[in-house]
Amino acid sequence: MQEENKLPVIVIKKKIDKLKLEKLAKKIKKYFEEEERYLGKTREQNENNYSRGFFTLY
Amino acid sequence: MRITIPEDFLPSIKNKHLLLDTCVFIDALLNPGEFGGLFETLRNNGIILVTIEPVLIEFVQGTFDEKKMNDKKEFIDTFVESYLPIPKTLFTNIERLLLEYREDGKGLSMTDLILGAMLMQFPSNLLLLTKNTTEFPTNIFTLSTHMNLLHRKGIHSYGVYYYESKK
Repeated sequence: MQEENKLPVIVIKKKIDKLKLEKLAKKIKKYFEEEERYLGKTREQNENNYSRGFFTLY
Repeated sequence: MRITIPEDFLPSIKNKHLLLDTCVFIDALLNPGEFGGLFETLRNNGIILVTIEPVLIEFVQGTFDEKKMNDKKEFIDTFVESYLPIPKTLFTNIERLLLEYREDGKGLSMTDLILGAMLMQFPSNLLLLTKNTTEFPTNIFTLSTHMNLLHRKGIHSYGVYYYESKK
């Protein structure tokens, strides 16, 4: 534990590009919405599969 | 939405490394204007914004394709200076931490354990910004300061935590 307890020296280089941040945020929000919709559909399909009854599948 | 910070917020974290949890990225995504302003203020006060790869993985998991994953990474890269390397002693720290959590450790996510272990690795020098305040109890971690997000309906709080070496 005694070795490696120094944080790496990091020089702050980045200027926060707020326009780029907002543009990317808008795009990525849509990705998360798509992913949520897919997840919703998958859950529904799984529930439908189980509701047919385990023994009818095998 | 408005972000409010107490008077001690910036002095408490000035010139320190601030480790960002996944919830910061999600809130920044939902409120990029306000968080862009916050990140700029932090940067201007010498605060180094960092994260770790397990947090990135939480943020990108479920992505449909490589282009979208790269867009998500680029989003993080607009304000995170660096990814901290995971130390070799990580799992030893996690075990030690679990002994401190005791029964409260049940149900903790691996990412939260890794974040806690990172704080343990760099006591007092690395601070964590997280909304998961229930996972970082103050009998184990020290709450340095906090900030609030004032929504139209509701107030969300973030804590800033560090780990102090126990003698």
